[in-house]
Order: sequence, then structure tokens, then C-alpha cells
Amino acid sequence: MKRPRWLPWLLGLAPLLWAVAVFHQHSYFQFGDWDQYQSFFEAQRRSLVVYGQIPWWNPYHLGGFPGVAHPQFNAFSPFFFPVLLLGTVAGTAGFFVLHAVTAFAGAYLLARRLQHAQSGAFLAALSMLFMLGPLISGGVVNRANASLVPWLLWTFFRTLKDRRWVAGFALVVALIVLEGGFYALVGGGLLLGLIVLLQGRWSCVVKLSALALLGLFLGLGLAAIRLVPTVELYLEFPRRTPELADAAMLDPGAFRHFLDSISALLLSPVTGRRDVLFGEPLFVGVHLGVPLMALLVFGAVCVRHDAVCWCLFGFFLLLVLGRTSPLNLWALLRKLPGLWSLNLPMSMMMVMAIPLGWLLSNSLGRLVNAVFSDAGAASVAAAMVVGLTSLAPLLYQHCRLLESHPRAGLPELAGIRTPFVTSLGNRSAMLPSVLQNRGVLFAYEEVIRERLESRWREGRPAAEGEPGYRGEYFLENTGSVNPRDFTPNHLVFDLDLDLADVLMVNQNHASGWKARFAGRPIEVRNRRGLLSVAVPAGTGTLELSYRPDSATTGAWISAACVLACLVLGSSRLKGLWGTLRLAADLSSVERMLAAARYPAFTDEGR
Amino acid sequence: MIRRTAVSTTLIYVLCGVVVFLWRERSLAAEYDDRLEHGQRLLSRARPELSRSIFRALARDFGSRDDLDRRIRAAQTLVEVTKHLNERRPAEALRILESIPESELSDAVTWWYLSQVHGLLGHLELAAEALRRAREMDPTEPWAGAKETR
Repeated sequence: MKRPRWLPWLLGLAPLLWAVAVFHQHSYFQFGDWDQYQSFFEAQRRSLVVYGQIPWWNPYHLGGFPGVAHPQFNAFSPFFFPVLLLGTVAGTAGFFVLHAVTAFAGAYLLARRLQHAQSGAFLAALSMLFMLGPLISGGVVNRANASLVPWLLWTFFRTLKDRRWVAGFALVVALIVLEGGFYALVGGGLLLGLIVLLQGRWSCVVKLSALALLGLFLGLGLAAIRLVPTVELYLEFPRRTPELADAAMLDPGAFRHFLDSISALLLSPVTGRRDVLFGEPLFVGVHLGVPLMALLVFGAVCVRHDAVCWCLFGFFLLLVLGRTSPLNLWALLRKLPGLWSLNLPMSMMMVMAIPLGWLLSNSLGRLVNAVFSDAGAASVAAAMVVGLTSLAPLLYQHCRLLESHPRAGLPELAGIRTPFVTSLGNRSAMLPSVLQNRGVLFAYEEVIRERLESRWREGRPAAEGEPGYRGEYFLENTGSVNPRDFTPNHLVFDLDLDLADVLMVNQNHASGWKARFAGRPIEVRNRRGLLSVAVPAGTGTLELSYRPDSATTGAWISAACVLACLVLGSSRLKGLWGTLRLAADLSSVERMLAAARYPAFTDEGR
Repeated sequence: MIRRTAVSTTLIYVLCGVVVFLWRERSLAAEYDDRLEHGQRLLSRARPELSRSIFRALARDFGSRDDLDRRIRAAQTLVEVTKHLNERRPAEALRILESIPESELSDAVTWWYLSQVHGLLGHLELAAEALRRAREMDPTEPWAGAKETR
């Protein structure tokens, strides 16, 4: 039966309706991680908009740390655009909405690619929106980037037909990295890896893996401008997650609460909450609702038809449940090289939603097909009704998602203090300080804080009002000095010294800082944990700039990979790809995942 | 004529719905028990001498789930407050207590904590008033025990 062409566009209204439901009264929430991420957003926005600089250095938190390199910064990502356009508070809502639309569209297109009918694909796309609830409730901005994982798969499946799509695959990898989506990349990689493995032919496994790795490395190269500084930051501040270090991989005792924890994850009526339950922090309350969950269980009755999808869903379910599962796959994952610092299993929830969506879609197809014997309008209408009735509770639940969160007012921007001042601040309310151009010394930050604070034993930046605070910059012997320019990445002082002196800047020392005095390079040293420059006697301009070498190296690698992508994606190179044609039929992967053919429920597929 | 497959499939789906509903109902009880237990563990780590009496007050009269949920939330807030008190940051503790909506301040435990924080900050009148409210709401044992520990 032919479907109207406008139907997908109509279905596309779903994420927009959802966005209205969630953000009809957006505000500055002092709840969960909202304040942390909004203050990070504001630090980046100020750097870009107020100072016209890329936020390589962030002076606003913990006395200063590398900005772009920080995994929770995302100024290079296109998803940051709403923050630039609308300001931090409204922009954060825009950021989530953009991710919701991306997740919805990606999951829909992916399901269609795998020959699911429109209503089934709609259900698969909705399941991504369900997963966004807990993330938004907690303000966990940097887990929303899993919205790109369906696109990762979609571009990969396109690559199977036309190798030039490897450039598109690389672009999605790059976007995930620019977003700081390391969990999403690991999750997406695992999902793709399992799909490749489960298709069963070893000759294909090798070839498909080679294709995926080519795209992966190309994507990592594209994002090198951000990735290389991040690697440098992690090498300097290795992350520790001691609470998970001793988690056992097998825990038969967890059987006792296994079903309860699945229920808490998918069925709990407390929508969108992060809670410690059964020994693991869980994003409780996706709240799929009884009808959808029944559809999933109904699918389990006919498990043999969807064995691959069930394997994929089961794997990610166990992964997300972490220690609440008798088989702790998360502990196993953390044993892999480079992944030991992953610490929140629930971060993979949106990846789990992809196979979940396929299962729901297949169950819907099976149900409709059994009830309606022919492919008439009634069967299509019934499938659409199920899809739309799943949307209604989602909208209703998410209308109330942010209702109980404490809201706070923001300072009048007319009161912004210039120049920059480091304050003690409030780790639970950092955004007002950053808006006022004030740093928060004891900031809430969980990637480098522990290591940084241990370094502070030798000395640390002082906050305004603390004993020993001598201002944001001073000459050790002479005293005060006035800067000509004092911006996050660039400080300029005109000096006229009778005797040699030491310029101190009240920010953490970092290796990327460089200085020039009277045009000549001069060393930036670590003195009591602070940035310091020993300046000789004489007159001249002292310039301090934060320009990490890793950023320059990364920029060159990125530029080279952009060229490589253009070449690989070029239509002129079709002949070259032809010579590299893989002998095996790579579309077997697509066939394996394609929805079962139900007579009353199929259409043109893609 | 209704097909046999249609009827049996619909019945299976409805049966799945019933199973899910029963599963959820059973799991909710376990979920709330675990939350209560977790809150208790947290509190006992923070202030072992108070945990038993506070939780007796928290767990009393939790007929409805909503009420228990509110109490658990209050307990988690109090854990935060306790942490700040232990680390000698009464101003931060007060900020948290003041952020609790009026509707959730109907708990004697919270009023008692408020009195402790005001006491630490030297707001003696406010401390006395908060203690009076706590006793008014719940004149029983926890407050007598709590007073001794001060």
C-alpha cells in the first residue's frame, strides 16, 4: 500500500511537540548537573562572544584549566550554536531540543533503512525521546550526544552500498568527539561491532571492521583539533574511579533484584530521576508505560524471529544496569585498554534505545499483522494509533519533568564586573558568578578537580577576600600592575621596571602558556602553583598567551583529514573504490537486521 | 468473521500487559525499600548516633508511596545538610534548607535540622523557633534523643 509522502514530515512534529512539553517553562535550574553545564556553557560563550576567542583556556572554574581540551566543553560542536544564538539559559534548552530532533530523525531513518514500516520506525524514534527524559531532568548535557549514534549506524549502512559514504561516517564520528561524547562513541562502536560480529561470516567481519576502522580513524583525525588537547589533558590528569575498581563481573546475589532493577530503569513512574538503586546509580524512570512495555514482552514471546535484536538489546541492558546485573558487563568493559575511566553505566541508555526501538517496531508489526490479515487501511491506521498513543504519555510525563526542580534568579547583567575576579563562589550555583565575570575557585567539576586539588598543596590561586589574595595579577616585589588586555587566552602588560621582578597571575599554571617580553620569548614558570614570569629590568610589553602545542598539532591533523574526507567522498574516486570492492556481499548485515516481512505491514521500506 | 489468530494474538498481548503491570507493582515495593535502605545507610554514615531516631521518624506513617518518596527526598537533602554541618559549612547547610519548598517543610526532622543550623550560625531566636516547630509537629522521642546528642 502506498503511503502519503507528507507522513514522515507530520511524524517529524513529534520531537517538536516533545520540546514544547519539556521546555515550556525553561529556566535556570539549581538541580543535578544543570548549573555545572550551564556555567561551562557560559564560560565558552563569554570567550567566543565577549572576547572573540576560542575557549582554549577557561579561567572561570577551579582557578583555570584548559577549556577546549576538557571533555565537558563543546564549543566546536554545531550543537553549541543555540547557546551562542540564544544565550546560556535558553540556549541549553535549544541544545537539548537539537539533540532530540537529531536522535529522533536518526533513529527514524535508521529504522527505515532496515525496512521497518513508517509506524514502526516512528516507535523506534520515540524510544530515543523516552531516554532523553532522565538526561534532561538531571541536566546531564554531555550524555545527550548519543543522539548521533543512530546516524553513526545509518552512515555505516550507507557505506556498505557506496564506499564514499565512509566520509559521512567519519563526519559523524568527528561530531561525537567534538561534542565530548566519549561514552556515545564507545557505545556506538560496541553496537556496530556486535552487529558486524553477529552477521556470522568471518570474511565479512574482517572487511567490515576494516571499513569501520577507516571511518573511525578518519573521524578521530577530523576532530583532532579537540581530541589531541583532550588526550594531553587526560595524560596530565588521569581519571580515577575507585568506587568501580573492585566491582565483580559475576554476582549471583544480584539475581534477587535483577527484575526489579529492569523495572526501575524502564517502568518506574518516577520519571527522569537519577537514583542509587540496588547498589548502582541508575537513571530511573524512562517510564515506557505498560502498553509499550507489554509490546516488548510480547516480542519476547516470539524471540526466535528477533534473536539478533534481542542479543543487542540484552547486551546494552546488562551494560546499563552495571552492578545491579548478575553479569556485570560494565566491569568487563572497563577491563579493556583505555576504557578503565568509564564510570557511569547508565550513560549508554540512549544506545540501548536503538535495538529497543527495533524490537518495539517488530512487535508492533507482528501484532498488527496477526490482527489484520490484509494490508488494508485498517492495519496501517491501527499501527499509527499505537504509535501516536505512545507519544501522548511521553508528552504528558515530560510536561512535568522539570516541574519540581528548584529555580533561581540570575543577576542583572548590568552588574557585570570587569576585569575578571576569582571568587570563592558557590559550587552549587556557579552560573551567576560566571555571568558576572567571576571565577569560582571551589567549583563543581569531576574530571580534573581531585588531581588538581592535590597539586594545590604546593600553592593555589587565591579567591578575592581570602588571606594572601593580592589581586588577579601582581609583581612579586613592586606590587600592582595594570594590564592593557586581560582576556581568557591572552594577557598583555606594559611594564617599565627598574629592577627585575616576577609577574604573577592568579591562575593555575599549565604547560600551554607562552610569554614574550619586548618581542622575545620568555619562560612561563610554575611558582606556588600559579602562572609566573620572571621579567628582566627594562621597558617593554609582556604578552602571555595560552597556545598549547597539542592544539596546533591537532589543527594540522584535522586539516589533513578534511582533505582526505573530501578525496574519499569525491564522486571522481568511484573508480578507485571499485578496485577496492569487497568480494563478499556486505549488505548481509542490513538483511540480518531488517524487519521481518509481515504481509500486512510492509511497504516500500526505504 | 474474526480470525482465530487475531483473537489469540490480542489475548497474548493483553496477557503480556497484565504480566508487565504485576511485575511493575511488585518491583515498586522493592524499589522503595531499597531507596529507604540507601537513605538510611547514607545517614548512618553521616551521623550514626542520629540515624536510628531520624529514620524512625521518616519511616513512620508512610502509607502512600508519594509520601514515602517525599520523605526519602527529605532524607537525601538532610544527608547533604549533614555533610555541610560536619565540614563546618553551616551557611551552605542553611542555603539548602531554605531551598526546600514550604510544602516539604512539614517534616519535624527538617525543622529540627533547621534549628541545628541556625544554632550553629548563632541565630538563636530562629533556632528556638525551629525547634519549637519540630516539637510541635512531633513531640515524641527523636527530639529528646537528638537534644542529648547536642
